[in-house]
Amino acid sequence: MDAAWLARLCVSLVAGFGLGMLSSRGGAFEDHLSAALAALWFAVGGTLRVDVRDGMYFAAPLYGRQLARAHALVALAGAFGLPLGATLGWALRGAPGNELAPGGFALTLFGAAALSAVVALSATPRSGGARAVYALLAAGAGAVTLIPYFTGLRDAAFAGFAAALLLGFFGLRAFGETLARYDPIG
Amino acid sequence: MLRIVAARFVRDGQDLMAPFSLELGAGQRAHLEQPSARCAMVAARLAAAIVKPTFGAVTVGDFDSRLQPAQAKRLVGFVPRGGFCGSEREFRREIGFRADVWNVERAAMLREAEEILAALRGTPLAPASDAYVRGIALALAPGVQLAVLELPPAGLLEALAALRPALAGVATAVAADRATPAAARLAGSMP
Repeated sequence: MDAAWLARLCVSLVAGFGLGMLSSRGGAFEDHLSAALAALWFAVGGTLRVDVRDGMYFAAPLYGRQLARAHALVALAGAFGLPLGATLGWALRGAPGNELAPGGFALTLFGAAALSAVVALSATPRSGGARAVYALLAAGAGAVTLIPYFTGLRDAAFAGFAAALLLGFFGLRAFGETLARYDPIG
Repeated sequence: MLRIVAARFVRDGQDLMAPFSLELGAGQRAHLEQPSARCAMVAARLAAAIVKPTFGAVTVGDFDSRLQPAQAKRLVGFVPRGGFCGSEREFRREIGFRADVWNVERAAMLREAEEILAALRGTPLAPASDAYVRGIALALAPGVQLAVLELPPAGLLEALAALRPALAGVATAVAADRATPAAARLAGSMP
């Protein structure tokens, strides 16, 4: 976490707030879709900038899984900027039932952003094509958890959030394994 | 304190450093020469339990770096080429980080690191780079028994040994004759 990270967090908060305030009352499909795309963009883009290759982390007496959890906290904090800003925007705009009610869109959005950020962590120690593939996988995983909501299924937000939790668990384990096998040889 | 037996580090079928063996007791120091800077970096990270050998074994204290890397790293103070911290503010932040992960008191660690920093700055052997000096002060957390210096300036390992006589130390360097295979040269032991 550095000044650039904080600046990106502020930008995502403001962008989310703007999207929330400008969206139509009751929450139109297009408004939610734009918020979802922006959330995935900030979650993946922000996480790719997390520096996990710093030698200091690997010199510390920590296991890969412990390092993975610490990096995940940073990635999640960054990824929650846009959903948090959007939630504030919806709350201040008025008539937030569709988004902020239990099982509303906000829950789905937080879940999708979190999952994308956690999966994108596996791209950070890699470079080239593998990095790009993991970044796409991260965006895709987040998008998958949004499908139930956008297709109008019953209890879609809970289903999407549960899927994000489950996939996120495996994503974090995979990142821990990646760090445990990573050789920081410059 | 450090036992390296026929260590090789192989990636994609290629040796990334010249194989070597080394045994160091408390207070002993060794200069480890490798054919290139990259090989020297790999050798230093291997001795610091940061990377695991593909063949052979590395034991720090009683801990195998492959099986118990966290326990092995707890005994090692690793100073990478270029040091760790670019600024004084970053240095203080890293002290906090290290105190937390090494499970020692922050104030005590900061005091000790600043003493080392002041002592090293006062020696004619201290390198020009402040980041490197800060890296050394950071690496020597209470409980660290082995210092591993990656491509340090000449004489720094000895200066460190004068500050902490009981500390074992390894410094990697590029061999003057690059055609010769790696040689671990025991530089002498402190009382």
